[in-house]
Amino acid sequence: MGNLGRSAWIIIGGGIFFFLLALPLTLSGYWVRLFTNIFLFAILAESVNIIAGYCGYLALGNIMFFGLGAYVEAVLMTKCGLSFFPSLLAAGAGAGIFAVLIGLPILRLKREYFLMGTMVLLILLREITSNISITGGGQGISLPLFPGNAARSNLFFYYLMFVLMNLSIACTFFISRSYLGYAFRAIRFDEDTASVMGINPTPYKTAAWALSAFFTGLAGGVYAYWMTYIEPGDVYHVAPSIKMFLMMVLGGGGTVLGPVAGAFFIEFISEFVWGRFLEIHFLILGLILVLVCIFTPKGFVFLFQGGFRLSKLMAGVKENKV
Amino acid sequence: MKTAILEGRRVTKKFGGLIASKQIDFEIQEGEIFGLIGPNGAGKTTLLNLINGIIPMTSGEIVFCGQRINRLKPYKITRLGIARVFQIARTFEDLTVKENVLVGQLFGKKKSKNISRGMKEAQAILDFVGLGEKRNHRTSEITLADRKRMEIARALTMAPKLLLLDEVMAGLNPREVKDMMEMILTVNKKGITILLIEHVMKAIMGISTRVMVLHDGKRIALGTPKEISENAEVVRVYLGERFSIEWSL
Amino acid sequence: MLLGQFIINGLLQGGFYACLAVPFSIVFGIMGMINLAHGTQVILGAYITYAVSLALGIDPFLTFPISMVSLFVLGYLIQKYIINLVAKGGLVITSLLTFGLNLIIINIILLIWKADYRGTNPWYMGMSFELSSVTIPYVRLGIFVIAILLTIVTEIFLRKTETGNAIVATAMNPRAAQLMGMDIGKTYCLTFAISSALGGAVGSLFILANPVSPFSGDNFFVILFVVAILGGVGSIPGALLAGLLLGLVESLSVVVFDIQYQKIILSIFCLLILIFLPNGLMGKRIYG
Repeated sequence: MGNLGRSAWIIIGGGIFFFLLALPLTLSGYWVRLFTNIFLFAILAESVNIIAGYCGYLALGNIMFFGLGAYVEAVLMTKCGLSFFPSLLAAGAGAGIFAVLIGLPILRLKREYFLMGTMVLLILLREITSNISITGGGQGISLPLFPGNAARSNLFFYYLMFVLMNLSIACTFFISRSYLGYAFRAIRFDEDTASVMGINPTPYKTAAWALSAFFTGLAGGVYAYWMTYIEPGDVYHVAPSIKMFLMMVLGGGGTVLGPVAGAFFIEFISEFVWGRFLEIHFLILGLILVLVCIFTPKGFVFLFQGGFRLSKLMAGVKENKV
Repeated sequence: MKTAILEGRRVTKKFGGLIASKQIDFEIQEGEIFGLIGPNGAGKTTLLNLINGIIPMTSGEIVFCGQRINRLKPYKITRLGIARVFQIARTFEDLTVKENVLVGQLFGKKKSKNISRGMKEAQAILDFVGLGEKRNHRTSEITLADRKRMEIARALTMAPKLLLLDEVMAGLNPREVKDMMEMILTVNKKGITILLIEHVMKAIMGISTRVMVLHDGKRIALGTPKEISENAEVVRVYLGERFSIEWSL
Repeated sequence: MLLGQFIINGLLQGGFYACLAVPFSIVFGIMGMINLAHGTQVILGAYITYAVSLALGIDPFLTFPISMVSLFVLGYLIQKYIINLVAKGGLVITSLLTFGLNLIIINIILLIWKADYRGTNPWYMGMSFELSSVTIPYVRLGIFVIAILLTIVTEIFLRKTETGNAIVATAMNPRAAQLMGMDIGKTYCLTFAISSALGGAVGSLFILANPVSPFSGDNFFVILFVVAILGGVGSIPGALLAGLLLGLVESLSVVVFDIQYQKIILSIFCLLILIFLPNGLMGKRIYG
């Protein structure tokens, strides 16, 4: 992990943790909301990491679970009068269950077809949501307002997202240390080989996608309550999906903290550099994506692990060039 | 009387119009070292893939310890007690040597979920094959011969009854070949039946109990190494005159 | 007969879909790559046609060689200097890379032409003729004919010319091709360039009858997936058949269901194909 020792990293990590814990008490609402947004993306990136980074299944449409969670939350709160936290749990659980069900046919597809399948599912869910009345169709849904003033609201969502982010990190950490992690990585390497090693890929892939969906759905649920208004094009949008992949790849797919680091990095750039240059937003995003794919396909973690060297940047190219 | 641990009956595999395996019959006795030779493209690796369940059979049967396995998924076959070392190394690139072996330990026949115990067992097996010191090396840092040993170690931790080795001596120098032969013999003495594909003639003829020769997907001979080397058709098709003379000396 | 109208519409649209997906299918079949930027490359071709015909004051239809050539060059350069750097990197990297390119091209179009819809209004726009109570707009017929022609020409190129055969050979067995002295990199550049050029042509055709925005390319994904897979990845005759079929399904679905459900129907159709017909109508792998 770079040239610093393990204990040094733990101290740094702890420092960041406490800094973030205390942040809302010292910084203004602007910063609190900014970080809440960063945590949101960190959750998304960390979640997609489980299915894509560890298992190698490129769920490009994973944002569908975000939308699903948001809408489950919204419908339960508005049409069933359920309060926030139970709805939130239902949102996560609903997304997870949906992943298990849809995983039955979809996870069996070859990687390329799985990728396409998730993109199509995203479109399908968006269209269905736009066309049925219980979700308000294309008009969207307004959720009940958070009881409390703006300051309280900021704090509530900040800490909620913070907790969720840490939960997803903890979950990934435990996976990486357990037999699940080894199974996932074996599957990513080559499913046939994994099978010959005695791993039955199906339950593992399904568990990975369900976990990924669960956290993504939770994030969607929180987002819905935070924004108090959602519409299909907003929560089933492809751009955040790509962003979370970018964050995962940039930080390092298949690592515990890589996607989180990627999320912080991209969101900071997002806010301060090209927030000013809105009209080249996509261009920069695309450029970063292209550069990352070429020079650091394995992400920051691998780049800095064992010491940074310029030659590491070219290593990816040497390996993958035709 | 020795029992057959693996039997193949009229094993046939077609890839579209191409018939890779034609009605192959064979049986492997428990405890023996069974060699499989033949020219390139004869269907040796295909046969192993069929045994492992990686590719489906077109017709015929494969029976392992009295149980039909040809319709089973690979992971089930592995758990019954068949382990495989591939011709082109299938090491898990990002894992260390020990972790590679660990994967076999966790999911093979004994299927334990305990990482620390798995690590200990992986360590023991690595010591056995002589890789104990390199356990924390990345797989990209070790030699080819070591990588082959690692794959054998990984196969061994799965507690197999039958071990399938596909050209594990390819690319090794004579010294390494000799070491590998010794290791295979040691493994066999522990009671593990071995099915071995090789092109290094001296090695495979030297340690096999019996040898089967495939040519063009068909079995053309099955017998002891001596019988095989004297088989006129085998000599013509594969061994060449020189070898049979060498062998009989 | 109203049904006849739907059928004709479906077929005409289907021919267009076939030509739209053929380049995508070729790249997928030969390079094993999912080019997520394809839709936007098509749209770029449309914009070039728009710009040139506006600037020179000529019929937009006449500009399609220009969009083909410029996209050929662009495609060649992109493959040579960008995609070739990661071509062996696997599905994740190549897919994300092409999506990155997608975003870049979209933004460039956005910067030059802004977000409003642009269209051409050729003089033959509204004109049509009647064929036993079915109305056939000239534009759509023209698009259909050109699309089919392009598809056939591409197939002839790949099967009957030496260069084309070389390209197909690399798909069958890249290592063998390399051993025989073929430069895979160059082959990929050529393949991508051709795919790009075809995309440009299709875009030029598209804008004759439809307005475009920088984001229009994203609407093509489902169509690309369906036609490429249903027709058998890499198979041009298959894509033709699949395109026509898709056109018919899309058109006839309106007969049974409300038009607002069309996207849903198509998406479900696509998923069913992914799950049940991954090898296409023919049911076997074309390459490998």
